[in-house]
Amino acid sequence: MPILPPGINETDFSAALGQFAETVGTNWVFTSDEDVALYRDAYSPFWGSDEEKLASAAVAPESVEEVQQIVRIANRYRIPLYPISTGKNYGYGGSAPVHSGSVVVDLKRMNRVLEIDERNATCLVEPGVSYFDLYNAIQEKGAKLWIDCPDPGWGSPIGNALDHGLGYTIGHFRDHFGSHCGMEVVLPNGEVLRTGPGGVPGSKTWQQYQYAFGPQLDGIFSQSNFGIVTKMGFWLAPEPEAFREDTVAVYNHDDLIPLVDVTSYLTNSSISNGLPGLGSPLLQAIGTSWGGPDSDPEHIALLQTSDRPALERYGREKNIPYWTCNIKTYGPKEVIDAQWAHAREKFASSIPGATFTEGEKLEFPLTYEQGEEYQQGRIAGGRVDFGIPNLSIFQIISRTPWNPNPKFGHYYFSPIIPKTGEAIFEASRVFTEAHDQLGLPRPPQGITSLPALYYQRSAMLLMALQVTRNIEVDQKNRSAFKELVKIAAEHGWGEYRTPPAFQDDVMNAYSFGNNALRRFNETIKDAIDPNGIISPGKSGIWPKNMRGA
Amino acid sequence: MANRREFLQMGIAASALPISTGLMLPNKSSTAENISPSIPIYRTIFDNRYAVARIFAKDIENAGGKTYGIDGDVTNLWYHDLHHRWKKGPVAIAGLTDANALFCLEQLAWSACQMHLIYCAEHKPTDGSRKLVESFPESSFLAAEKIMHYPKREAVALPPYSSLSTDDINSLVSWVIAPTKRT
Repeated sequence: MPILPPGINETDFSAALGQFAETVGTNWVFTSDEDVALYRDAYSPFWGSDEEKLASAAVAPESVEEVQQIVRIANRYRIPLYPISTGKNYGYGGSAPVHSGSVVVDLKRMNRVLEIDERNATCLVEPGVSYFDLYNAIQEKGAKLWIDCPDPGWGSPIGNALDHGLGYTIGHFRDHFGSHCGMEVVLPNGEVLRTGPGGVPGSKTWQQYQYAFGPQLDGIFSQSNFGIVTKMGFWLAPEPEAFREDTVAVYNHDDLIPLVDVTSYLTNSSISNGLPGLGSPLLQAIGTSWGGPDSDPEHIALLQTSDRPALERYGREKNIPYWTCNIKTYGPKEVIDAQWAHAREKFASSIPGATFTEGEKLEFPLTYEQGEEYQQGRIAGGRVDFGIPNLSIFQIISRTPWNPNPKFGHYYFSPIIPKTGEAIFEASRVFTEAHDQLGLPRPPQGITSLPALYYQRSAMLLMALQVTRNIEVDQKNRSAFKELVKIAAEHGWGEYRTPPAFQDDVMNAYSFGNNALRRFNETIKDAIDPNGIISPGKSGIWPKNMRGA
Repeated sequence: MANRREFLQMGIAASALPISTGLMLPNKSSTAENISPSIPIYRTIFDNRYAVARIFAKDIENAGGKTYGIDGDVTNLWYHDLHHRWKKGPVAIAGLTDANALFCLEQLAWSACQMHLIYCAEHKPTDGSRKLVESFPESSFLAAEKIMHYPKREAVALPPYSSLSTDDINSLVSWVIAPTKRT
């Protein structure tokens, strides 16, 4: 038995484990070192240190009734629980608990796709269903529907949505929590609650209408510890007829401002409904072939200077754009051709000198194998553009010029910033200075990170800090991360998601009104979970008996 | 060719190597004791991008084993093969891949049917140069044979590093994932 939950004696813990086993069967209570080790966060920034967050045991129920019974037993013995869906939240915590000694409630056996409604383009799933499972269920049914999945397809639509995960396809489907519709939750007292129209017994519209009568509660069950979600509905995308991906290239530094503005206009007008992708061939040239034989010494020398006009001139002469943006559009073939024509005109009239490259055009359906063909030469993106789950990202995940062969994972610093060129420049300046100040490796391309534009009206920076499994280096990186959170907050930027190691810091950065947000969450927590058994500390929300400990 | 002392040194290095969850067979006797006996290897996975792995696979095939080549990405292996096979019940797999592929397979094997990584050894340059060791570590095959009743292999000669298809590789790992007896 590796560790005990804090404050729980061995007798009570053994009694609780015994009752868990009576509930789910002895095969589904995991207590051996070898089994419990698989609930460690393989990307833990604490790996090997005394501070590493570790589970004491795990229990894997198969039904809602078993989850209810586990919650009742946990209340009886004050056992902290840490529910996971499939536990694949790497980069943001994996399956390890926030509070060491918690018992992981592994929901992987609850893996039924309960409903796929092609006419209304909805589904209802359990937490152990992976993106692969849902994709397969849709294929087997022959439904003309798409899922929207993140890069690794082994995760759970429920787990990903609850942690505000994101994907790659069409418009609002990329926001996985935003495109959910209805949930079933086991509350900390063991009762079962259904949100939205699911509150009506025998509801016929649970997956069709997002609201209910009275307050919409769904949001309080995301990134929270107010219950265990056991079912969730999602809206799916009807399979589009066609797709095209085109690129606009601009050659001046300040062209980024109109480039982002026009992209936002196209997105917000639904003229382009795919995920736009910003790039900088001129700046990234040095990052992708630093010192290599293909790098032009003149280019490298220019990148070392602050002579921006000279760099712009070099780029124009060599036809290397300062910025690019990939514009992806899904829809009927004739319609998306017209949409691109309009988009092109908008860019051309707003940015003198912009050039255009017409890229890939595809018609659907794609077979899995055709998706694979599209993937060739791509690591990130690719099949996920069409809702086809895969694991390709693990070939290169978080590999960078200054860490070409990462072995131990990473974790993300991911603030949300305004979706404007000015904000991107400011964030780049602020975080480049912060990298220098904190002794972090400075990004060679001179811009900390180009934002991802998953959301329609905001931008997200994604900066990966490497896990080294060197205790001193990891400690230094954790301190740096905490400083980055503070620096971001000083500029009005908050993180959208963070690993357990930093959830208190991030919640504390949302400090408006003397931390009114955190205190309100704590008020709810104390009211509905007085014993503090569900995921204590998740998102910086601690139960009364653990606050300040 | 590495001599026997180098083999043994590699075996020692491998026993202390932390890979993903940190489960290492050589110093995990409790795990070894829990291995279900006589479970055959269902497939041996190799990374097609590396000459050494292709040689390894050929050797396995010559001995009658079934292999599956990947290009670093385990998606097709999982989607077309292991996912279906493991739905019927746990079967052991072995491989010579990079650490990223092993990481994925270890996670998938646990989620699918509670299997563990029971053996893992890293193969990397022993002298700090950009050259892989020139022989496959005998220790890994001995361990595999002992645990899995896997046919003993002769050491496989490896080509010089310069003949590999990419130069950004630091190491490969040989491994076995298998069902264990639950205690």
